[in-house]
Amino acid sequence: MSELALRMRQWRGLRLPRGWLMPALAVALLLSCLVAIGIGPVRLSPAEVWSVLLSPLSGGSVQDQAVVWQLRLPRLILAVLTGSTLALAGASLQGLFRNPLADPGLIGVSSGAALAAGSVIVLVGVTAPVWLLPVAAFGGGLSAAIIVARIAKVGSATSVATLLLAGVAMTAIATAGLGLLSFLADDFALRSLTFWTLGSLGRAGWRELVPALPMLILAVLVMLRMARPLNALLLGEAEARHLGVNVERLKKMLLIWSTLGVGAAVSLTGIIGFVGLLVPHLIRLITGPDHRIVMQASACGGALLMVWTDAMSRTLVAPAELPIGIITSLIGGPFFIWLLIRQRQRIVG
Amino acid sequence: MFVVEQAFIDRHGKRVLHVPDFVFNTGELVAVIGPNGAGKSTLLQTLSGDLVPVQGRTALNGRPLAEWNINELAQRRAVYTQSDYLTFPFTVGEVVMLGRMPHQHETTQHDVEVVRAALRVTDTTAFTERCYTELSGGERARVRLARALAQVWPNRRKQPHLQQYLLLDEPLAALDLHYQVHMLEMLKARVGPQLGVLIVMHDLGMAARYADRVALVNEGRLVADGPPDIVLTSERLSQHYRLPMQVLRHPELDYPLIAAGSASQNPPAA
Repeated sequence: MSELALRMRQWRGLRLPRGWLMPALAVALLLSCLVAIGIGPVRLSPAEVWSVLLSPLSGGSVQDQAVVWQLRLPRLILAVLTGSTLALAGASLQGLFRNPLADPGLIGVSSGAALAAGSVIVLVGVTAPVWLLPVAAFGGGLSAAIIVARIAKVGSATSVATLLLAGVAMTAIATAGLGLLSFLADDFALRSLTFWTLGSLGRAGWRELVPALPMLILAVLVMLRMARPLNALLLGEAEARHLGVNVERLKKMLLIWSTLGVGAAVSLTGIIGFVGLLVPHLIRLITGPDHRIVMQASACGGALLMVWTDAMSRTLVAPAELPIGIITSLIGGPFFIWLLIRQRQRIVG
Repeated sequence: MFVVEQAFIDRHGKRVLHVPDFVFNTGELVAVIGPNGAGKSTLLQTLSGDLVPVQGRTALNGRPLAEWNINELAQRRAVYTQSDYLTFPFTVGEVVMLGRMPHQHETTQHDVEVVRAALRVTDTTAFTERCYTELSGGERARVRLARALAQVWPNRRKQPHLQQYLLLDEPLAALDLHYQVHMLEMLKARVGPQLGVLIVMHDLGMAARYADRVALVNEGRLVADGPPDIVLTSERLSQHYRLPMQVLRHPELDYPLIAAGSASQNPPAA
């Protein structure tokens, strides 16, 4: 625990620091949404966005109406839900494995989901029904998660080193599978495949978003409800059971719902790395490890991060679009390295 | 009241404990003693419900442990384990507050008061704001004890007649002598009509001095169970610890002192 983080926490006693953080994050998210909708080739002020949103039929010009309602709003909703889901899944898995380095990407869930989705794109192609993609992505993610968790399980404990290594191996296998698929793919499928591996929110229209909405919203709500027992789980599995937590059920729920959420998100956006690692870590530095606040704040923080990185992806190389996975990994990679260096110093010094 | 009847416990398909008959009630401090690997912790895990006997019966208040709602069980008994997995930087106050989990949906004033009291009796109040992972082993042990105490702290107003139990697996192992005595006397003082305490321990002298009852476990079997003066004899201890043992009395304070002889005096039989 760094000096800074300790000092930041010193002002609180036994009470939770709900105080300013959640309202601040919620207001920031709301304002960011209003601003971000206005960003793009057609620029709109927050006030214009507000009036279009408030009166769907009469506010603003016909063009503004179409831009906001047909293009930017579904995309914004996807950004908010994907960010929340990825950040919450990261926080959940970090608690589940009692390790701050767990992340849906690192334990193979994302790449497993992308491989399955990629298989559908290349092997089934355009004839695939709309529902097949998210379902396949979910199945792939869940399978990868189960295999990795099985490999890392020694008796009743989960070996963290094995878990991360198994995740690396799983990611390598999935990457190879995606490579093979791209070798087999025709030009059209290849472009879709590239979309998967780099991640983008650009595919989201209402038609794609609506089937995945219930999954994403449910995953967010269920994971938020796991906050209290997750705190107990950090003490150890037997200890959590002694405190009245149904540990096996909790583990199953966390694994299923984080995988379900990430699978649904990946099925729409492709791989968006490091959000699940980055956001809960930043939040913990401010609030400490209590999941009741970490989970809520991560949900908001993940959405916030995604809204702004998506705005960057739309504007940095306009009129083209920079895949959002590139931006999050460019931010997340260095952060991860900083984290490793910080932990190494703690072990050595 | 905990009742164990003709219970056989298996681990990985191997028989590890046989308990012919064992009762643990409020109002008593029971010490579980025995050599390494004898089955002391297994007995404790049988009482906590972590291990389910393949044969026989384990019950609390007449209801088999496996049939209890896990949260209602947690309101009635707290467990101190030696494992220490916490690596996330919780403060000591937050760790002890986790002990209140079976009783709360939202943190109440009562919970805060209980946590303060549990910190006070374990002499850990000074650490309240500190990060648990930065404490020494002995300090962490006292904080975990405070968490267990907070879990079964009586609520005289809401549940005036609730009987509660502490199951402690070697809580003294990491403590210095001052705290061993201090904690045992604190626990002894808390024992009453609504609290029973069961402690797995290695220090026979401490067991003799503070326990109302001593249960001796050896080679996977409960071999003796009774008042310290009856269970802790030179002959029995020599046999089960495979060392010449002598039970003396403190010249001034008149409590049993148990001294082990040298291993070379009487080489182990096996």
